[in-house]
Order: sequence, then structure tokens, then C-alpha cells
Amino acid sequence: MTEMNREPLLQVKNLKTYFHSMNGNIVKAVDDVSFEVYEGETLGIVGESGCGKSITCMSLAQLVECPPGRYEGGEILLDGKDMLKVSDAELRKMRGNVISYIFQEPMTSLNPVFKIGFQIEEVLTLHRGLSKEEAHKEAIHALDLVRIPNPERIVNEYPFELSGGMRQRVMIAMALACNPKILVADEPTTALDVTIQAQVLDLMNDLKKQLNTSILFITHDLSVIAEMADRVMVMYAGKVVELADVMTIFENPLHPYTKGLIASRPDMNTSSNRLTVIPGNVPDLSALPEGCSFGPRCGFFCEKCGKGVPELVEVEPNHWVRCYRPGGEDRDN
Amino acid sequence: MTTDNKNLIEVRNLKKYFPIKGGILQTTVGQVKAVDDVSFSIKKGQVMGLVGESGCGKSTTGRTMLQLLKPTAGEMFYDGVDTFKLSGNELKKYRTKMQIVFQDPYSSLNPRLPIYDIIGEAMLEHNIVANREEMMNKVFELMSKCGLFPEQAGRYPHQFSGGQRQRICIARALAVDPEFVICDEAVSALDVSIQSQIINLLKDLQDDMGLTYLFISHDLSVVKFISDSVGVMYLGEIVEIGSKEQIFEHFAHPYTEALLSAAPSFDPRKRNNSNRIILQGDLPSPANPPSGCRFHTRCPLATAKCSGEVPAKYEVEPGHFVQCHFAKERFAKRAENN
Repeated sequence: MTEMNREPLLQVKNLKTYFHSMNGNIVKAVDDVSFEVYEGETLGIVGESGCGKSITCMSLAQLVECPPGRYEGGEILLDGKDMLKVSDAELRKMRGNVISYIFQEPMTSLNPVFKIGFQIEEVLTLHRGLSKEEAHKEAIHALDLVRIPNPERIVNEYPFELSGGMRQRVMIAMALACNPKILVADEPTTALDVTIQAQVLDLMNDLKKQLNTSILFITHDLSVIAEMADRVMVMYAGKVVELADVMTIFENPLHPYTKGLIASRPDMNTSSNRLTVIPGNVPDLSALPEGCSFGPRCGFFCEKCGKGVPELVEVEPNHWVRCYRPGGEDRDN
Repeated sequence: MTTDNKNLIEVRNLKKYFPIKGGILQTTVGQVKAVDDVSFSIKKGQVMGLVGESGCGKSTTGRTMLQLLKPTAGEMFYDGVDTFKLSGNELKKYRTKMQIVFQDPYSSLNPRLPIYDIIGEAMLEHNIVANREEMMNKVFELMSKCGLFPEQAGRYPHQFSGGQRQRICIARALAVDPEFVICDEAVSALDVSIQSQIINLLKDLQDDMGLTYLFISHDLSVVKFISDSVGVMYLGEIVEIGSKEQIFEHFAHPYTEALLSAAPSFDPRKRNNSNRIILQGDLPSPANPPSGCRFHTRCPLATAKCSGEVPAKYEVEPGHFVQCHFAKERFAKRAENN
């Protein structure tokens, strides 16, 4: 891919975000995660609940509450700055201008007591220093951009007057108000109906082309990943287990977990009588099994897997897998 | 599968309206027609899927069928008996035959009861077991059938994961030996890898016990996998109903078509599909549904006729009903193209 030759916009190196609980347990929510996002690309992060995908993304702009969270190590290079080292003032400048977020719940992420217009204008006056009138105009423009009908009227409405899909558009408008270089979308369509989801995904793809924003797209839904992502990162128990471009992930997955995830979904075209299943449950992050965290649920488990944690290795160009036996065959190292 | 041609469940003209109260006297000022004239039947041992967007009335249909909500009008026959006409002990007898599994396994289990009570309570209430000892034996049996460890029967719901809780909910529904189970978004709240475990469990239980399911879900691929017949709901009405093949392969209603094309495909090659239909706008409010065909406000094919005239149910092929003015032409055209 051509993106590979360019400098990455966002580079995360060995990020560790741990939570220290009252009883002394350490929950390694994000454990040694590294990845890059290039300009104009969509990186999909997929995994089940509790795998650390949201915490990884919240760590990027230091949105994880500390304590109980703690950034234990690593680097987040965004636009040439290490986000874990910058001052609070600088961080505030980066948020919204360089990196901004859309969350899952459009019902709860808007303030119910302020008008839609005010909430978007606030972003513009604070981050771009616009006057009130300018901000108002810009807010209408932003709503127009996300295809909200009658933006002049909607700016004067309250969130409760809008449907879920409309609220999510408002969130997108707000997130894009300052032309961020990277947009983090954390399960943006999970709470929406299929037909509304199709509208929102279509809108995001159009805006991406129009504004050349990079998107970090978090979801548990592989079919949404198939629709949106250029490259895919699969997470399990706080670690990246596989990273490759979207075609490779769907056509030649090598990590047993990715394989299982893809096989366990009833496709619109499957006709067999039973689904393939990954046995067992997602492990408790404060009591991870020894060795490979996926070991107890893995069909290819061998002695080696129970002892050491495998490294993330590039098994073929741009295809990284954390497994001793990718594809079920023993690896040399 | 024990499929004979008898209808176990037959719903006729089911209606459920919720009153809208207003004014200082709290008089009824309007009605939300959550379920409006819905009819369908399910054969013994079969699975019927009910799909639609949120607010279309699919869950209300399920709950009204079991009289967890009082029906406004209509009939619901269970094995030839109209259960809406029964009351007291008569109805109680039928309650054991029809059970429901809810969406959220976190809020549908009593946090203060140990698992054996959650599962066993109904057995004692309905005199299915004579004493607690017998109850415990049956609880253990059910737990292992549903993939739980019987030695964990003394634990409380918070000690289980979401998938295990859903297994407990299923065991609870099966405790009274039902023949008909409504799964109301039973796998929607679960993780992908757990979802497939539960779907397989539901299928196994169906094969073992000859259960009949009404499978309510918004997830088309899950419905396609598990169902024998499918009903598509929009704003309180079933707009298209037929066998799985009829709905997924020769659908004739524009809403069904839009719904199927909106579902993201599992194949990255199929993205940027220019044939995708993206519906404009949101679901209208069921308190004030559009005139004529309820779908006309979002329908790409809508004409003046659609806003004026309510379309009749039209049988495009045996057992396949479509509620659309253009059903006949659309279906004929499709048949021609094939």
C-alpha cells in the first residue's frame, strides 16, 4: 500500500495503560500496544468487550481517568508530539484540533440542557477563537456537512428533540468542527438501527474522502470493519494479536482468535447447521492465564503456548501476528 | 426436527395500543399503535424470525402474545386454544407452555437469588416438582444441559459472565417444560464469540426438546441462520412475511430490500456497492404514523397512491405475503429477471 511509505500521522509505541484497583490488583487493560495510523486511512480496531480497544483509544488524548488508571509506559507520537509528555495546556490545544472523538452513545454524550448550536459553537470559540456570530455560521455549516436537514432550525433545538441517528450526526459535526487530523470513532453505530447505521457509515466515508481525515474506527462488529477499514488491528485481553490490511484479515487470518471470530459469525450466505464456536469466555484481565492469554480457548494450544507470551511478529510483509503457531503450524522462533 | 404441518401458534389481528395521557386530568389524548393488526402462525418445531428496527413493535408483539402486556384486540391460539380468552388457573396452565428469554441478561435475573432459586422457583410454583430435593435434581440437569456447571448452582448472578447469565435465563425459561419459547433479542447483548455459543445452544435445545421459537432480532444474519420463516415489521405492521428463502431471496417489499442492503456485508470486496439502498430519514413516530402506506415517507418508490391508500396484503407466491401497492409488479419483474 502507498500509505506505508509515508510518515505515520500517529505512532503508538508500547503503550501500557494499567488500572490499579483498591485491593491491589493490577488490570493491564492496554498492554504493550503498538500501531501506526497514516494520513487519510481508516484503521479498524476490533475485539470483544474488555479487550482494551476503547482504553487504547482514550489513552491517545489522555482521557482515561487517573487514578485508577495509570499510563505505565510507551509513547504516543501524534503530529510530532508525545501526547504522554505534553503539558496540560498543550494537550487541551491538541484535543479537538488534532484528535477528536465520537462515542457510542449519542443519547448520553450530548448535554441535554444546552441547544445543539451552542454545543458546537462552544468547540469553535474555544479551539478556533471564532466570534459568536462566526461560530454560529460555522455550526450551521457543520450541520449541513453531516447532511442534517434544516440546519438553521436544528441549531436551536435541544438533543431530546432529535432521533438517535441525528444525534450521532451532531456528534460527528462537533468532532469535525475543528478539522482534526484524526477522528477516533468508538463504536459510533452500535446503538443505531441497521438502516440508520448505513446512513452514518456512508456519511463517514464521504467525509473522510472530502476532508482527508484519518479515522480510528473501534467496533466489535466485523461486518462494519469489512465495510470501513483499510487496515485492521485485532485485540484480545489488552494485546494486539493480529494486524494486517482488511483483505488479509478476512481472507487469510492467521491468529486462531481472528479465525474463530470470523468463522463464528453467521454470514448472510452460510447454510450449515451449526456455527463454529470459540469455546470458553473472555478471561478476567486481573487474572490472566499464564503464557498466551488466548491459550485456554485455543484449538492449537501446545506446551510452548502455556509457558511464554508470544511476541507480535511480522509473518509476511505488513501482516503481524502474536502467536507461536500462526495458522496452526509451528513457527521457528 | 419434529416438523408436522400443525400450527402450534397462531396470532390473528393482534393489536396493542398504548394510551398517550395528557392535560391536567390525564385523559387519553392519543394512542401509540405499537402493534397494529399483526397476524402470523408458527408450525410446531419451527423457528419464526421477527425483524425490524427499534420501535417497530417486534418486542411488544412478543410480550403481548404471552400477555405480559394486556392485548388491545386480537386472538392468539396455542394449539387451537385462544389463550387471550383464558384467565386464572386455566391461563396459568398455559403460561408454563410459553416462555420468554429477554435481551439483557444483567437486568433480567434477580441479583439476590442464588441460581438454583432463579431456575427452580417456577417449578415449585407450577407444581412441576413435588419438593425441593426433586427441584434441585432438575435444576442440576437443566444447568448441564445449558452448558453450566451444576456445582455453581449456589452462586449468585453477579458471579457469572454475560454469556453464562444468558444460559441461566435459558435454563429458567426451560424449567417449566415449555413447548414455545420467545427469544427477544436473546443474543444481541452478547459478544461475538459468545453469541455463536448461545445460538448453537438454542439450536441444540430445539433439536433435543422439539421446541418452537419466535426469534425476535434486529440482526438479519442471525435471523437468517436460525429461522424457518421470517416476518419483517415496520411501524407496528408486518409488511412482508414468508419462508426464509422467500424473504431473503425473493423479497418484494422495498423496506425488506432496504433492510437487507443496509446490513453491512461480511466481505470487504463488496463494499462501495453502488446498488446499496440508503433510506432517507428516520423511523416516523408510531403515535402519528404516516397516512396510507406507513413506509411511504422513506420509500424510494413512493407515489401519490402510497400516501393516500393503505396497501392490502398481497400473496405473491404461496405463503409469501407482501403489503405494498407494487408487490405484484415487483415480484413478477424479479421472476422474469431470474
